[in-house]
Amino acid sequence: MKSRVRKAGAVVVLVALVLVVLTGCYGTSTPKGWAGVNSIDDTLVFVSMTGKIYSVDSETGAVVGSPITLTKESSGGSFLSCGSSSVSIPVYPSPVIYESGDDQLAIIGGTDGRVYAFPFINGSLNANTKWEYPAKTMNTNIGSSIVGGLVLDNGVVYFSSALGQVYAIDAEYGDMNWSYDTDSQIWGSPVVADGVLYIGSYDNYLYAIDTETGELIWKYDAGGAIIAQPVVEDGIVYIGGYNREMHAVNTVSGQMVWKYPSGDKGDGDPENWFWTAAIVNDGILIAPNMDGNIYCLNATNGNLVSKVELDNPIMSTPVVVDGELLVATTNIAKSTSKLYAIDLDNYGKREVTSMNEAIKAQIYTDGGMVYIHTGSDNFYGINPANGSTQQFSLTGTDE
Amino acid sequence: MDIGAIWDLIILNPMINILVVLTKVLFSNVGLAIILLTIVIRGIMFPLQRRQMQSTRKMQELQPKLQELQKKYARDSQRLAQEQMALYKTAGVSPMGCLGPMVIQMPIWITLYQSIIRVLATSPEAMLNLSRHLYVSWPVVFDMVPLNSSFLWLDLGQADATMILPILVGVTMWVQQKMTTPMQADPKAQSQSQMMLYVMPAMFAMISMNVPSGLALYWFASNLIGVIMQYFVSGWGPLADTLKFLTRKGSNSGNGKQIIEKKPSSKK
Repeated sequence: MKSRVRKAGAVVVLVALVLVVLTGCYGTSTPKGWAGVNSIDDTLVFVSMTGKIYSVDSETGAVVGSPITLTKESSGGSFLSCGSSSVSIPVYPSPVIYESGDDQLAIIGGTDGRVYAFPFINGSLNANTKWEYPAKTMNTNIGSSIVGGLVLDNGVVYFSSALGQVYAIDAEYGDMNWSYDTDSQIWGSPVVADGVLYIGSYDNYLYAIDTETGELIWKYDAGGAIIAQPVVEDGIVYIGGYNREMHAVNTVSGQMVWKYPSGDKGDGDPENWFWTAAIVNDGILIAPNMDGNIYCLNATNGNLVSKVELDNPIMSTPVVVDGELLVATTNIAKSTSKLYAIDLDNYGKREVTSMNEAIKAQIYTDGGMVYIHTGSDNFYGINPANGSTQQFSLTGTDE
Repeated sequence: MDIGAIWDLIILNPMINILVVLTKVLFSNVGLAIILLTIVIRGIMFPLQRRQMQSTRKMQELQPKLQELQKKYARDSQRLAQEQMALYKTAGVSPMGCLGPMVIQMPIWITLYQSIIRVLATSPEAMLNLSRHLYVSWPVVFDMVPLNSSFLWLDLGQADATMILPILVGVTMWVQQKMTTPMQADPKAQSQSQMMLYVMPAMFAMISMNVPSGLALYWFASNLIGVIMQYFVSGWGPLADTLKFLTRKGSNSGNGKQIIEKKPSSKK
């Protein structure tokens, strides 16, 4: 009997330990990433969750050249850590494409805190980087992950570190022009307009930074942490936050023009976060929310024009194709998603397609097609007119 | 509705939202919220915990008699089992008595653990996942998230690079275990219990080096509360043998019940 008790006790302790370790690994596992797609000429650039970068012919769907794999040495595979000696680098930002003369670069920011510029040679990416930031020889990184998106403007790449530094890097050679420390966590993407960079931070502020000097012009308290990318139109910068509010801010003065909802939140108001960027179309601010609705606001005064009710959270920025807004919703618990097309004239909706995979990455459109990187690490090309879907078969030996 | 959804609805979601609200109440300090929630839950669980502790203690007190029986009926396992059952019955002890409360408490501890992992949301995926656990009808939770993870010298979303917290986790776990681990007459059993006494704290200390320090803070707070509870139920116990200065204080305090098993030979 005593031995049975001991055995039972040992089993209970063992089960508890396994649960502790497993749930620990599950909950704190290294990020998976959800990079979107970009393209140059007829070549699509995909970055997978396993850190592989593919060049794909958009016509045939065939992989061009060999995929490139981003890897890093793990910190040592310490006891019970969830890593191994060499691990792939998850990537959140979509690649940006830089073209100057004969130079064509795909610039990618990784969760290893490094930015890589891969040159296109004969239509496919070459594994030998033209430059990296920080430089390869420095054998270091920027101190934290790159989660927010990269933005290319006038030959300069702008991005942020998760620890709150904003960087301006020369796209041709990878030299740093300036950096600005917000002293708070940043997971959002910047936007650049008229020589000013706007970026939201976890310290509740929207920052406006001079792209020439890297100096702060103003900062605006949005009343809640910000992860969404701001959008700028006609002298107003629009930003939504975790506090379920959308703010319109004057780009010159940094003062609020309006906010939605304007007073205390009530029935019909946003019930969840503004996670992803809004877009402005014909004087209407189209703001997707995690509550599964799209709030269409008058961009001038913030009045609600229409509310398009969808079924699940919206996590990826929508795109406009042929007068229709293409927006993806995802059931997070079930990892299923739907792609909708919203008629921007009457806000009528139609379901384009549905899939048993989550959509968190930014949707990309080119040539009337929509390209999606799903949470199951598959890439699809979808014709929004008829919903026909092509899954890209990504194979190839690493370079 | 699958079992995961039911688990979320009944146990996990309430605890996550309470943790966020507590953070708001406690000056936006998630560290204090973790400590307070651990105290509250351990307080609620105390009756069960006390039964477990008392049951363990009674079992320990029976050890000399059990060993006598083992010697006496070494060649008759059937008779040994009968005599052991008779002894348990006489003493009013259920050999599985300590397991019941432990099994009942386990889901609560796992839920608290999962709640802490989720509210700290160390990756964008985790943050998206958190969104589906928050109560839409509680505006305060949306005002608070993402939580500020700074606490003392720690970023609760990151492992403690100073190693202070992992060491505290290991030490408090060792103290708690030492208070309930009796000296065994059987050298083999003594060796096993000594091994467990060091292996478990060492293991948790090492796990604490690799997980967000918010979890390590929870383990530390839980261990500390466990030590206090154990003291009020059974005193310092065998810990007083190792830390002699506790013997005076422990035994003079009127609650320093020693649970040190006497060797069978001393009874002869």
